[in-house]
Amino acid sequence: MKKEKLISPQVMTLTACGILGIDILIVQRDMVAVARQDAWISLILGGMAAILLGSVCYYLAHLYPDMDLPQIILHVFGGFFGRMILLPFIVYDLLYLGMSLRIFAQALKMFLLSATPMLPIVVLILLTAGYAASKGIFAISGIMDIIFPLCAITILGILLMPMNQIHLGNLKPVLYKNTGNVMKGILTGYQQFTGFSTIAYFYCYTQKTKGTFKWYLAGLGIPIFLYVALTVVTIMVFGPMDIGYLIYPTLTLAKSIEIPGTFLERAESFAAILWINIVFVSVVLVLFRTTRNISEWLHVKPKYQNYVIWGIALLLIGIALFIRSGTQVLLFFSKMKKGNPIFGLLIFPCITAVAYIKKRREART
Amino acid sequence: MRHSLKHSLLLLFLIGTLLLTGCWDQKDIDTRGYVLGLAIDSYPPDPQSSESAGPNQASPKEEEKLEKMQLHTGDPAYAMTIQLPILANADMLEGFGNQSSEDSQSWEITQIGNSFFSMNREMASRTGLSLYYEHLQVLLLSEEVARKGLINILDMFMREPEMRRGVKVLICPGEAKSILDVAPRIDKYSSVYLSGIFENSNRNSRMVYHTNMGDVICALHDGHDFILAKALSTKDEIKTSGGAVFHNGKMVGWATEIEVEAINMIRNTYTGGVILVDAPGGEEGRVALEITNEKAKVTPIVNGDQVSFRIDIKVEGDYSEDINLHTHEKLPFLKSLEAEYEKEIQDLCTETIESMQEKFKADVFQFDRILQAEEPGYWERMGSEWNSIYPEAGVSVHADVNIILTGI
Repeated sequence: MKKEKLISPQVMTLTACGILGIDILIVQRDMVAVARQDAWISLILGGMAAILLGSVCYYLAHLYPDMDLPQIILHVFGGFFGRMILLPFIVYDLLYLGMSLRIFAQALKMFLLSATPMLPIVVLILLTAGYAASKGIFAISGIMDIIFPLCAITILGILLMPMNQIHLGNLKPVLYKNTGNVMKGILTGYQQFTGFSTIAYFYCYTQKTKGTFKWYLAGLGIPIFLYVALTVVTIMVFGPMDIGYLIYPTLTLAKSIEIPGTFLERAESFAAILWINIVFVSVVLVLFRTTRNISEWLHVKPKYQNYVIWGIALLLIGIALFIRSGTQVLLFFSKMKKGNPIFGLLIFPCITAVAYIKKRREART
Repeated sequence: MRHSLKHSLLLLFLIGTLLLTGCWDQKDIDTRGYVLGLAIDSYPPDPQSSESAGPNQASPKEEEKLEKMQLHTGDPAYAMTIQLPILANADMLEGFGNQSSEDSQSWEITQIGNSFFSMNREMASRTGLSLYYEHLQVLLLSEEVARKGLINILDMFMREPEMRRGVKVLICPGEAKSILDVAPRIDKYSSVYLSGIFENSNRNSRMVYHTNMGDVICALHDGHDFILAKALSTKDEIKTSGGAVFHNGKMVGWATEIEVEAINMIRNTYTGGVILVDAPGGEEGRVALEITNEKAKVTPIVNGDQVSFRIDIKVEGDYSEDINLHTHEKLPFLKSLEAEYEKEIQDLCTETIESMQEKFKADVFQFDRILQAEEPGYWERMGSEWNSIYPEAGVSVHADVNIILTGI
């Protein structure tokens, strides 16, 4: 029995934190590589696709309000087929987590801790994230309530501070012989917001009110707005050509902030608050998701679930540090994310359709 | 029992986190060498600009023994000089040491080589400090280096995470290192002094304000021409006014102070300045207008394969100084004065555009950028021929001046 319940505004923070991730450091580069100066249009359209598919996901969770996603899959498809369907979720989340940790560690190494090996960076964030995940969804939600406003304010700061350097002309020409690329970019844009499915893992812990869906939509809308705004400002400051040369455009944007005089010369250090926190919340949520998937897949009792967390953590250290080259890691991460639409565009709608039919049959009998 | 073990482990982890975070990168503040300025000259230097040794200094020949490094490949091409503050001589430590006011406040180290990153690392064999570039204020390049092109020079400055895009880049007609050698009268370090001058850009329009590393990098990546600030020095003073004109990433000449004023106006980088005109109606005297607000709009006009530009400049300013004309602040006089300023601005901009087109063929106004944004069809057809189109492109300038305050 799940007596304690998450309130509706917490649905918003958890959903938003589930979407924000390590992608925030590289979203502009990925988008501009496809749609150039119109990248922001692709991102808006990709965001709309995410809202649509997020609604499907919400409906799926709503069909079985006392179960989370792995439980729903096993219930709807049975033990064998359910486990077959869960497997790609587990593999994808493990790879996503491993690569997120690695990109986080190498960005931190590049900008702040040049002499620190990556291993302790990865281990330390896993220790804190693992501890948070082991305390369950309510502890996680409490953490998100604190961290989310901090992240949102920092992103807004990064957006507003370089306003004196923007060139509106960098966004032009709009859609000039670029519609095809903008269309291609929708998929890339959608890939940035795939965390919307987190709702299916915590909906069963939520108070179901009329406003819950609206809070969920707000949770989807905030990161979409922040990513689009970040892409627009970055294009206006650097131009689409220059962004192609930047590995972490968001960090470079933060570094370009100039405060007159010698006061606060390293204002970008505040940006560290942003990405360390964002990566932390993302790791906690994906770790929680993976733990739930693996626990159901292996049929682990809830009291032993913490062993799963620490087992995953050990595995993640290996995944994060397996590839030596930083460039290969970024390439692999981009390629890996291309597989994500399979979940959103294919698996989720299929699961929802089958779950809907099964639910109707259950209702009849 | 199990509970207390758990708590002890948690405590251990937390303490470990506190103790281990940043451990590898721990660096005491006094062991860092805060590079404030960096100058790049070509090597071998121009014989006329060779320095002479001071009373307690090594001779240039002796110094060169340390400055030269063994190279893996190629010949030495550049001399890179950095300015480090000598913290022991800084005022904040007065009373603790026995330094005198004549003690040098900074140390300029030169290294000769052909890769800036390896020169930077070679300097580590000459100082016990760990060089740190996060507080770099200025990057100075000699004219000779700038004329060879910037694309080969700036890579380390783009790639190195410690470098900042806000670093001011300036070009020096002579030896760039000489600017770092200046002993300023008020500031302690010439780099900080020079970078501080740009704070006055809202009072003086004859300096190139947008001279940041980030702007240069963007222009180089996008293939636009640009202008960088010029720096001149005496033993104890630095001046920046006028600019170095760049075409295809290489310096092609100097723009005068007044030309820089016009370029700032057209490129919307004019943050404040003064325009002086003779009194209207053939009267004696001159009147100064302090420009408080300026906005230019460049409109490309495409006619088949031909392109021309219309520039509308709106200026607001205050009547700031009146020489020999104290009684003329009446409305008709102000109107005729506004017309004088309009003519002056139009002439100034037209002459500057012609000069840039004819003398340097350099599109420092970045008309190409405007064409790409506003007339993409034309740019697609004719963009590859821009270098031959630009010098012939017609430009008309229209100014609209409004005097807001009269001062008295």
